[in-house]
Amino acid sequence: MEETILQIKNLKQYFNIGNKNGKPVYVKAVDNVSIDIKQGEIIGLVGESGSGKSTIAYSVIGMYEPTDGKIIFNGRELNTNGKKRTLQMKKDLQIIFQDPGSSLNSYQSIKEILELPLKVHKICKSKAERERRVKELLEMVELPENYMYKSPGSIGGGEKQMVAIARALATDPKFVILDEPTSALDVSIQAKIINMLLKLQKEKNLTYLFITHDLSLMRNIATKVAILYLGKVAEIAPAEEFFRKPEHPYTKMLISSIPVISEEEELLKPDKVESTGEIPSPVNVPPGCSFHLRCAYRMERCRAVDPVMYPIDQNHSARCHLCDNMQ
Amino acid sequence: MNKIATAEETILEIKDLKLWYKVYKGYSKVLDGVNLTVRKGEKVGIVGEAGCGKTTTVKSILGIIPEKQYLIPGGEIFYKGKDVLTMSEKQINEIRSGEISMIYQEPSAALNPVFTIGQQMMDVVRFSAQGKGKDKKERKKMVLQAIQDVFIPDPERIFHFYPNQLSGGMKQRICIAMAIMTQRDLMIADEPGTALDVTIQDQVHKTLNSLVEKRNMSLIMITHSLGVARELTDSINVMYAGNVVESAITSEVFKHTLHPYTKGLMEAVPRLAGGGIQSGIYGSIPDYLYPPRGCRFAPRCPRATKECTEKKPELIDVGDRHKAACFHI
Amino acid sequence: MNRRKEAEIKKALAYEAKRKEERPVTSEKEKQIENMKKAWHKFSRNKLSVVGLIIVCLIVLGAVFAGYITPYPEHASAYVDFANSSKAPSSRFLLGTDNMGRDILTRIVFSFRGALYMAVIVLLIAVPSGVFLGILAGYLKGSVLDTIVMRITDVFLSVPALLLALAVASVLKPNLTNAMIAVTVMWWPWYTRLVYGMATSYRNENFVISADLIGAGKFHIIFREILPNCLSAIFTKMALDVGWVILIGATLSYVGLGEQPPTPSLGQMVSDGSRYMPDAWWMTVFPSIAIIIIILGFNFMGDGIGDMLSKGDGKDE
Repeated sequence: MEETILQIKNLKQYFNIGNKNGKPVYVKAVDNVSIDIKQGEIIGLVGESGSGKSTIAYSVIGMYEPTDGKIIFNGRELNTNGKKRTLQMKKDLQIIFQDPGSSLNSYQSIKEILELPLKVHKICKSKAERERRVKELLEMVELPENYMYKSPGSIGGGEKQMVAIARALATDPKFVILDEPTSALDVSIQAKIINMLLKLQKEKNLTYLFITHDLSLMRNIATKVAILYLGKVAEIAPAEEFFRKPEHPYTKMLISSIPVISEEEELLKPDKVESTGEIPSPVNVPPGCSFHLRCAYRMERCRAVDPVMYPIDQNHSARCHLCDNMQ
Repeated sequence: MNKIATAEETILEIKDLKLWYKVYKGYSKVLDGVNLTVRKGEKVGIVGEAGCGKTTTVKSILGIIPEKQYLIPGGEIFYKGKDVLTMSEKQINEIRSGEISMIYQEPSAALNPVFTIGQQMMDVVRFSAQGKGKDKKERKKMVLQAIQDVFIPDPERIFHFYPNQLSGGMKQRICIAMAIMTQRDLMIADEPGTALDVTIQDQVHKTLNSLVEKRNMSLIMITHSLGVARELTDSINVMYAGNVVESAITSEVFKHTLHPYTKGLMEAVPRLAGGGIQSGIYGSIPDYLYPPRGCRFAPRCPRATKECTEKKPELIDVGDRHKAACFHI
Repeated sequence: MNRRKEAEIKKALAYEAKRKEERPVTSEKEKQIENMKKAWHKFSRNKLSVVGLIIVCLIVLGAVFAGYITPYPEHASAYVDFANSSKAPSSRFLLGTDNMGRDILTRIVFSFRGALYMAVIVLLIAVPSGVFLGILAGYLKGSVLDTIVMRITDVFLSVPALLLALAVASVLKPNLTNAMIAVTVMWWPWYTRLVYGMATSYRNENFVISADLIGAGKFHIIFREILPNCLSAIFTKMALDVGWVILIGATLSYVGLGEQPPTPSLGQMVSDGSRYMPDAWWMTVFPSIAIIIIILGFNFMGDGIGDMLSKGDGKDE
């Protein structure tokens, strides 16, 4: 259970977006991020736009070649130096996208969609077996059998996402990336999808990397949460710790910005942390601590020196000078 | 809260509004008797999930749905005592340009990318009642003041910016500035923060809130989020499938939730305090071409009985300024 | 703007009351029928599309049964009747006769055969090859293949189409087959361009990325994921193109590079007749009108097919 399944080590993902004065200009979408993920965990990556949360996911899944750093899965390095990943790697890692409408081809039936992974990975021997497996997959996500003859266009958004989940799990992956799987859906449907994902995670002993902008959702499902800001991890801690004692000023600002529906939750919000300022463009990251322009606690040091991750306790660390106990 | 008690003057009243969209094969009965009251200076929330008809409701107030696409088979919309459904094009245009303003979910779609912020805002002033007869200098002063009012520093510089030079949050602020810079009585905000990041959303909501309060405007806030409604509104109308199913003062909705749909919605919201995720609401919204005969929520309702599938519950008083449309309360 | 349209409301209420009994469609077969009805509804919403469809049907039927429905089938070949040469339209010769005494109506209907034959063959060759190259280059955007294919396409597109066809046709022997080769050569790049654009955007869509991450091969992604999404645009363009191919064919035969006499072709008839203008105007005018009607017919129908395949939001206009 406590085994590390995926290790992201000093991952850097820069994108060249053109030239200025003869020098190439880079967007540092992900800058020196390290995260360890243990078998059976649900890791939440939380951040706003430009935080690089999706980029990390896409690097792990293999859509981008990392600029620098390593991604190690089950002891094997996933970085293939430009070559394609092997089928086995693809089988073990799967992704579920935010918008179920665009991740399913509307010109195929659901049966065809679900059969693809079975065919590619030669999971079923005969046609009949394949059909049986498709039925099992639909049953797994609690959709009726006759859905396999429907097209994605004729079913609802939540049901589409269920199909996308079934497809991702068809290859029996060990590690699943969830890229905002519910943010395009209504809350009542979100609840259903999340419960389904949690049930499957337990049943199949899966590890999830869950990407979202919704901290309150993470509070309820993640074992560990990492907050990202402008391509860097701002704070990382077990989910409960976060709300009991958030350390990074950005985390505090984030929590205090969430609209909540009860007094009990209102009390959890840190006092006197008002949301101010704009998220800077990732092309023009401020020097020093990238958050200092919006920070209520900024010091002289923040302008010049970029903080490193300071440990707070065993599983909790934050990238803020305030947490530097050596000072 | 006590504001409602003192200012009883009703500014907008929607009575049993029905609206059908014409679709292939018939009529999609999107609004099925919406009741809504907005008092002067009140901030009213309309909360509901995608497809519940909340945007259609406010669009029908301003008459901005293409005429060929819909039909209003019943109901009235009274704005300051006059039925807007029977108004002439000229009368309704006067209301649109001088009394009611609207801001949208997507600020980049609401601003024209080929004109500067200043040019677009000057136009708004020029065609408004307040701007008439004023010269260019005075109008520009109004615009700069409006930009300052939404807490954007350095309005003179922003004046010459094109929309794409601004971030999403800034654009939404500009939209708010446009909506409030001439004296309006009612502002309709259609999910103004949904497209923005949560910290920026918080700022925009606070700006909106303080301006509406300062100018004693009425606000209709459309949102899918109960949390946003709780923080910004005085009263909440929960909509489901073209009906207002519960309507009450905001604090009351959260303290004494009555309608099964509101309850289900409330339970589905993930809490900051933890406690796991509830099961959500079974099923999905009905096909408006073939809506359920009785209560539209009945097919998904855990408490539905035979009566619910046959008769439509009316929105009735169940407490102090608390209304709900359900047989089982 | 009174939004209370009492009369319309009354009608709608009555309609809905009647429709109430109807059950929503559930079975797959019903749904298919329903979809076809819906497609027809979208197609026929524009009356011109229906007009186009009727014209196209008449042209096709005319071409197929030309031998049975025309008054003088023998006039379609090398027939000479100087006694009746250059006769004005009359009850005997509805559209008059040409300088060799042949019935113009008969010859027009027979000329549909060559015109349609040409359009079908040209599109059958040009579309698949153009689409194949376009989708391949689009999916492999940035590769060497992309550069080669698209630069060649650009070269073809930069030469005026008719000039290119004329050049090819004049190098080869003037006959129908070579005219078709000429038109095919100038036609495929348009499809390459069209599909290239779509393929480059679809390859970044999540459903393609998902298939790739599952491990599907290039063949599957190109032909099973991307191609079906391009088909509606291709079909629409094809329907519109039939008319244009016929026009180009007529132009080639006008300058003598297409179908050779005595087989009738519209372009040839226009060009032959023009020598007798304005006295024997019917020799030129009627074939010209036939060309215009064919092109309009296919264009109207093509627009209708475009409407039919477009994804509307369900609201009526």
